[in-house]
Amino acid sequence: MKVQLILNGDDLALSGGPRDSLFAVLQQRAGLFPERVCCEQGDCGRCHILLDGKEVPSCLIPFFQVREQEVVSPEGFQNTEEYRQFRALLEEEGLVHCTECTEVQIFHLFSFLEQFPQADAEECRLAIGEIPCRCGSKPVLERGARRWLASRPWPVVGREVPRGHH
Amino acid sequence: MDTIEIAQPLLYGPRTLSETLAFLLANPGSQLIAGGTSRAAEAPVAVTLHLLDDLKRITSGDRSLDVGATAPLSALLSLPDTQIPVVLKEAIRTIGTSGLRNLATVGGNLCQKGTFGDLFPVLLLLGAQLELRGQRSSRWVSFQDLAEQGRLSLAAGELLTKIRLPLEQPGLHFYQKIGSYRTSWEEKLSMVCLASPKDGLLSRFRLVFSLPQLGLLRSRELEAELTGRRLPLPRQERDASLARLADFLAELPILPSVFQTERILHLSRWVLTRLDDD
Ligand SMILES: Cc1cc2nc3c(=O)[nH]c(=O)nc-3n(C[C@H](O)[C@H](O)[C@H](O)COP(=O)(O)OP(=O)(O)OC[C@H]3O[C@@H](n4cnc5c(N)ncnc54)[C@H](O)[C@@H]3O)c2cc1C
Ligand code: FES
Ligand code: FES
Repeated sequence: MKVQLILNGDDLALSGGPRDSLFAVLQQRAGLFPERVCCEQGDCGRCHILLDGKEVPSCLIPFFQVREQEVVSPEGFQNTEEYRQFRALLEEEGLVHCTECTEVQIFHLFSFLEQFPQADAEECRLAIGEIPCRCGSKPVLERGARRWLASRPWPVVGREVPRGHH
Repeated sequence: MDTIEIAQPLLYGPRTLSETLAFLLANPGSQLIAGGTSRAAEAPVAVTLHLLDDLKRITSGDRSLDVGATAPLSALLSLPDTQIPVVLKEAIRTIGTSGLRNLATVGGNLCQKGTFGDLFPVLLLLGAQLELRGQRSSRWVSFQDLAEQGRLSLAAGELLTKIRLPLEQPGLHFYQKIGSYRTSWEEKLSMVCLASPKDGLLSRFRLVFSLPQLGLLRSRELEAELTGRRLPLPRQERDASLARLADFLAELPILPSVFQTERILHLSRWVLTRLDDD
């Protein structure tokens, strides 16, 4: 089966089986997520992508579901200005690059802060804890998250939902 | 309707609710996929709900919130605290990771086969209702009725379409989950408690535990006994209530594990003490 999608800004068609996960296809057919130890069960965060702007585990998404959707992988995010700014801020806080999880952490934390700009310190701490990490990068990421949110021009209090007649 | 693939499995991606319901009626054995995160058993014919925009909608009325069954869990976390009971947000935050919650839906959590999802006990105590629709029928069911039946059973061709919950914030709420999704059942449970202290009296008290092997545990006697009591509860009264709760647990037809029993009593003591504090 061929599925048309936009991957990291490029229009393309990828082939895969009807029961394949998006992760399997991105890894096998698009050369993404190389040599990463991944759980493929939704636990580790190492396969996360942005699907139409929202961070999701690609290992749990059926491949067919991304038809005509926009997918951004950590590799695609690394080519953006936002990535450079966010990474620079984390480096100022003491980020040390580790091949194991740094890129995954940056992608995850940035996506989380974009989606929940009203997150408090505890919510940021929990989000950072979602990616297993052995090197102790969490305090750096927590400080970075606080600074990034504080640098936003105004506080966001949550998204109001439309009113209906119940 | 889009037919996504011709080989096995046949995957259907309807774009309207009426198409979906007509398809389900004609193909009663087909597998519904909402967020797909529970990786339910694979049937030869599958219907994905992800193209149904109407079913993702969340709307707020004067006194209630309507949540479309395929709204992702994260959509509820984005609502301001004035538009959603905070205890529900607390429960949602314990489910998987933030990425998973962008995929996993509210309806999928409630319709998991063979288990009550973590949102079930919270929605039960909040007095929520479910809308179930078939091609020729539509009905509202309370979580209370479902809890009494012991499971959510859908008729052939029926779909969970909406969850309606009252917007009233309980005076006090407590949510605790012990163990994670992959913890073995003996070491897993969750607790929800809603309480309303008013003018020095406990005007409302509801407490439910959810255990994987037993479903929901709720002692109506304990709730009735504590409702109307003057706060703070004297220590002897608290101990007597906990002793009765221990008897209730010991008389259940299927016993909780030793670990679960200890945690239930510990959490109940904690809640009763906190009522005094607040
Ligand atoms: C890493 C991980 C952690 C998890 N942690 C938790 C947890 O802590 N607590 C918890 O409760 N669950 C947990 N889950 C299970 C699951 O992800 C969630 O319960 C989720 O909310 C299910 O939603 P879904 O949309 O993905 O459901 P799906 O997997 O799409 O569907 C679940 C079941 O419900 C049926 N269904 C779905 N929508 C409807 C509908 N509208 N009408 C009728 N039937 C329907 C499907 O046919 C299927 O049988 C976890 C899963 C993973 C992978
Ligand atoms: S591979 Fe671990 S979350 Fe997908
Ligand atoms: S920074 Fe090395 S494992 Fe996380």
